[in-house]
Amino acid sequence: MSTHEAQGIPTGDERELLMSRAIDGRASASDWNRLEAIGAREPGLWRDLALAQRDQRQLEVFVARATQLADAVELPEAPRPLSFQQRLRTFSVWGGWAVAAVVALAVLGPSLNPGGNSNQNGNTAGIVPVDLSNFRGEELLSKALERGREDGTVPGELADGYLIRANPLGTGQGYEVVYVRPIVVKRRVNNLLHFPSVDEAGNPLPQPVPLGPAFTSVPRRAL
Amino acid sequence: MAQGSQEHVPFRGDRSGAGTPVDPVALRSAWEENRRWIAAVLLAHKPAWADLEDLLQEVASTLVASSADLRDPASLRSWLRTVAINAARLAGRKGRLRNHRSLDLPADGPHAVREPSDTLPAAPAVLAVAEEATRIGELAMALPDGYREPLLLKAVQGLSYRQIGQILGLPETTVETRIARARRMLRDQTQALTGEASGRISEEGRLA
Repeated sequence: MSTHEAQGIPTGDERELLMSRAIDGRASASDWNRLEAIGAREPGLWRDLALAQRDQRQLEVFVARATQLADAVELPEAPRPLSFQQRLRTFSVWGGWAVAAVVALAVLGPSLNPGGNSNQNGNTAGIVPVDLSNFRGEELLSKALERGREDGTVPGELADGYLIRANPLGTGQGYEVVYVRPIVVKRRVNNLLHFPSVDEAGNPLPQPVPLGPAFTSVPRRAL
Repeated sequence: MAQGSQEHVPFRGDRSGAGTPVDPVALRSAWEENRRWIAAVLLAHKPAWADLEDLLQEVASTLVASSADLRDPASLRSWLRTVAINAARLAGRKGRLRNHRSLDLPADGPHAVREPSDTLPAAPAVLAVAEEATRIGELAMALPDGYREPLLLKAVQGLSYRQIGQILGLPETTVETRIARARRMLRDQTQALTGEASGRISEEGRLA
């Protein structure tokens, strides 16, 4: 007894199920016996079976034709994760601003309250209250460097800067200069890496910086 | 090639799930193994004018984009079917919004744009088979929801009842019953077209 018979499927469905199994080549011996029994009572069964087989073959042709283009559809390239170089570039663009912001907050933190009152309650030990509006950018930077020298995060500054651009002022006297000011900073990092080689894709390969008394060069990047 | 013969498709090298990179070879293999029946599902659900290849590309893109999140390879087939149906329905909604029905040539049917190879002269016998197959296919496309898709899937070469059940999320016996009924509906329609009415099927698809 088939599963469908056990489930009480009507006889009409049984006839179609038996035919369907015959079409798919999965009719058992008992299925064929049932088909022969039905066919003996109802000669039209064999014609229906032949028509159904024909329909199935033609439907297979139709589906094969309609879906054959699927064989030419390939997976698109997966979006590649950012290369090490790209990540470094992103870091170098925003990292400087982030560090500058952290330094500024460390120095000026309590004065950044929206209320503007730098003497509010709270832990202000060791932090000098400063009113931002009283300082220009250069003065704020000087304050930050001064604070860094005090706490050891800015050990010093190289004497020689690097001139990028110099334009005469409109007044005819003096110049407006843009230059790099090399400030030496000290930070604590989790890993110390440098990039002595690249992989086959051209991405820098990070290697731990060999530390020791003989190490004197500045690592390219500390992460 | 037998479609969907591989039961589990690990996208990650150690089958452990999250935390390991997606295996592009396994992903490509899974796509090649399943894309034919995905096309059949799209065929069953897409609007007639929608481009099957475009929809397949959408499904492929979704697979790539979501491959890292697929935790259960065993449910890949039902997930792919859902993606395909969503793509077909979205195409239908977009099409209605753009009101392209009257402008676009249907992708299937007598006015379809055919590949150059389809327009080459063919032997009359081959043409007759192709025309008859198109006629049966169009009749199958007009079958009610719930019958059309399993019948088209069964016409995909090599797809078993068990695999169709996995795709549709239905028991194998239900798939078998639906396909048997769909075949009956199709046969009755072809007989009706050739003037051989059988009249043995009710409106809701129940067999007499």
